[in-house]
Amino acid sequence: MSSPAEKAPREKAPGDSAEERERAELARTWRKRSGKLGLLFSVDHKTIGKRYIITAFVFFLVGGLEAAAMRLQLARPESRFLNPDIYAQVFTMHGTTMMFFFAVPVMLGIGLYLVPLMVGTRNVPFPRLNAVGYWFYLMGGVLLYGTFVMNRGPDAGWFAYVPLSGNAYSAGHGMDAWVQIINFTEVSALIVAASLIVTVFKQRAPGMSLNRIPLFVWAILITMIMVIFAMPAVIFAAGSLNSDRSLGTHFFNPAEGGDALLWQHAFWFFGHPEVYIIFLPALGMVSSIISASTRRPIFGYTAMVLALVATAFLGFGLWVHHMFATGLPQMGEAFFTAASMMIAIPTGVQIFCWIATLWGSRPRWDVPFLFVLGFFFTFVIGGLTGVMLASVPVDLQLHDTFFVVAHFHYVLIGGAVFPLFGGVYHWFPKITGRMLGRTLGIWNFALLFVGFNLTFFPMHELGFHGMPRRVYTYSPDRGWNGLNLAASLGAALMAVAVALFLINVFRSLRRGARAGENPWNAETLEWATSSPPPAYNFVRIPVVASRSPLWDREGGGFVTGMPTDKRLLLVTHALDAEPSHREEVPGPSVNPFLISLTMGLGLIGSIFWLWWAVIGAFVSIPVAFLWYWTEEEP
Amino acid sequence: MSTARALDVSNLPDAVLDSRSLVWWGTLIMTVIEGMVFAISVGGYFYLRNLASAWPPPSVGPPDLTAPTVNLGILLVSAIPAFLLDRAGKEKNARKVRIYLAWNLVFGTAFLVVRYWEFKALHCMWNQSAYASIQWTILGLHTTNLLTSLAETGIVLVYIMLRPIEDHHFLDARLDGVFWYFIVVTWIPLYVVVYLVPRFG
Repeated sequence: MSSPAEKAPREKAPGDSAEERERAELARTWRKRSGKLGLLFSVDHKTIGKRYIITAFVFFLVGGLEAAAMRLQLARPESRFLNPDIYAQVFTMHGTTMMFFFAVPVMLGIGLYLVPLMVGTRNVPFPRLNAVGYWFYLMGGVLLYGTFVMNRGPDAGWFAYVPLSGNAYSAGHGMDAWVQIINFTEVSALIVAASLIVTVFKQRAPGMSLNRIPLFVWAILITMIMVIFAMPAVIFAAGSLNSDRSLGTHFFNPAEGGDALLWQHAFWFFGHPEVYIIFLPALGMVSSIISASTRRPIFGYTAMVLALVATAFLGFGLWVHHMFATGLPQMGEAFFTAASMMIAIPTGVQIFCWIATLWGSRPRWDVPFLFVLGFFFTFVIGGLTGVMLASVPVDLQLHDTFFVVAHFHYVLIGGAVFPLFGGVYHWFPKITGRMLGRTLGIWNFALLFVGFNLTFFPMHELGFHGMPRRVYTYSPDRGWNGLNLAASLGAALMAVAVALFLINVFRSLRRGARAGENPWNAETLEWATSSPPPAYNFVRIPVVASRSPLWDREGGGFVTGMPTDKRLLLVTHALDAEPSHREEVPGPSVNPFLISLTMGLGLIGSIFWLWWAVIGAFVSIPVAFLWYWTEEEP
Repeated sequence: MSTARALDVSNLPDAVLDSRSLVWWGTLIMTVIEGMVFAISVGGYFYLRNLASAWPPPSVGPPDLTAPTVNLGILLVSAIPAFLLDRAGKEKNARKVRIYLAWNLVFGTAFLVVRYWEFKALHCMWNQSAYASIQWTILGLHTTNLLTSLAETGIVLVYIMLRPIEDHHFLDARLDGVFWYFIVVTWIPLYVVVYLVPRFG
């Protein structure tokens, strides 16, 4: 395939002064609104992405404190640290926080920050809509902790099974609030998905045909497509639960023709893909870190992409394995067992491709690489217990025991949090311009790795011994004391590891070594601009001639003839990334914040009185009009 | 990138009014999301129907077909002004865009009004049974889409009555038409599910 650069008329690169003029004008055109109120106007994908990342890490700390409280309670038998009511709220908050407010949003945020840089564009296609996504996420989080602080937190588990979550067993507004909290996170994830899918398909740098997209971008693209197909199920589920609770519908009421299992189907049709929505971006990070650490392209690019697609596809065919204990027909269960075991195939393909990349290389043993090795070890264990649980007879024995808790923490922490920490060490220099400290980083990794395994490995054994999930205490004669104490000590080590991470971040922000453009000598385009990148990302849009543009000695180049006096994006064709046209995107505006406020207050009000939702929608119409009216203004 | 080569894009257009544009892709994704919400709801419908001994429950009886069928007719006819709106946008004909946007609003409002009798044709309130709940949900979801589209049409129409039209407003008008197609096309299978399946299924 010939790249557009080769067909274009070649000319000498203009001198520095012309470039300086372009740089100055771009800075003027893409400038942010200044002042404190300017924060409400932000539409830059990097600003919004950073907000997601920082907010998600705040929720990670809070969710971690909740986990620590549970481990403190379970450290010894018959402890009275938490009463059963608070304990139920705490494990529900922990699950809801970690899934909806940490793991997914942090991946969305990193995607938002990096994808436009990696494909070589200046911003996402709908910057103002994108801002709405963040405000919705933030409001959802504030609402969640608002209810918790008032001791009215949700307490029916993060998957809120009916009838426990119905009116009969969860009176009051705690569950009503939970439903709206879920709605906020759905909207925000869907908005990011729409932004990034269009970014990847239509805004890639000229020459970056589909078979030259970085693997991280593939991972995010496929994840975002999963978001589009998974979120509608939870929209339906949450909507039905909401109307059963407040309008008297009968979706989950068997007396009137409803069915409690309908909730489980709808929730897990979303909930299982959700796990992959968290996990696939982490796989993309692993690929980025390995290729930068070994200075080699990842082995088996096509196989890697197909494995990601296969994982996403199979991910929609697994949901019933959460329901093996509900007495479904055996034929149906067999199908889901097969699908659950099959997912080990594409995952295995990726692991082998990474091993092949590492084979005979001399990797740079830096902190991101350590986290990748930690990922291999823990994630493979989690994958193996997953294959065990996919078998119905095993699952029936282990269902709702600590074995399951151990399994999904190995998959989620091993599969997503280890790569995420690696990713933070890898991209922190790009985002802040400074390197994270290496010594503290090694301690951070070592303590997290040891602490994690000490916390969760004993839980497998506890599960075999029959310790159920979600019990607030246990009697001393069950033989669970020693393993529980070990798990709690491990949790303390994890807390120390996270504290070291925070110290490292705050120290490095002030005193870290300057990073420069490309401290890892990596190959993708985000390293082709300054650290941190300017508001317009690139002075000149790059032209790409291979999968590893920054390792190319030949080929590549840049785009000229883009006016710099308007916020213009270069739009390219979806498959081959040939230039198509230019398109202007809107600049800073307060309207996204205002409409989030009117719609958000409507949703929050509807917890107490349903008509608030309608009022919120009507009040939003003038704001929508204002939005449309002012789209012309820069 | 030691050998820097330049790709000149100064001759490219600044706006396009068709499926190459970013907003067109955004609209496409929105229809996929909403289509998926409908698909999941229909899944829930057949799940509940599969459990029921009678569909609808004997106390309710099958829905009337008169108002729903009349309204289906109105909706199918309304695809014509949507098509003309789309074409006027493509031709950048400001006068025609205003006219067909207004017609779009008229047809949409007519459809919305008859929808009232569609709800009545179900012969049940949402809180009577699971059957009633899912029927109201599907009808309600489609009505919500309709209301959103009408609000959007109204906003675009008011804007281009009062302010000078620029190229991207023609694109907005076209997308308004495209979204209306989505409302028409999704309603055909939903009409079958809501009104024909309980009667003949």
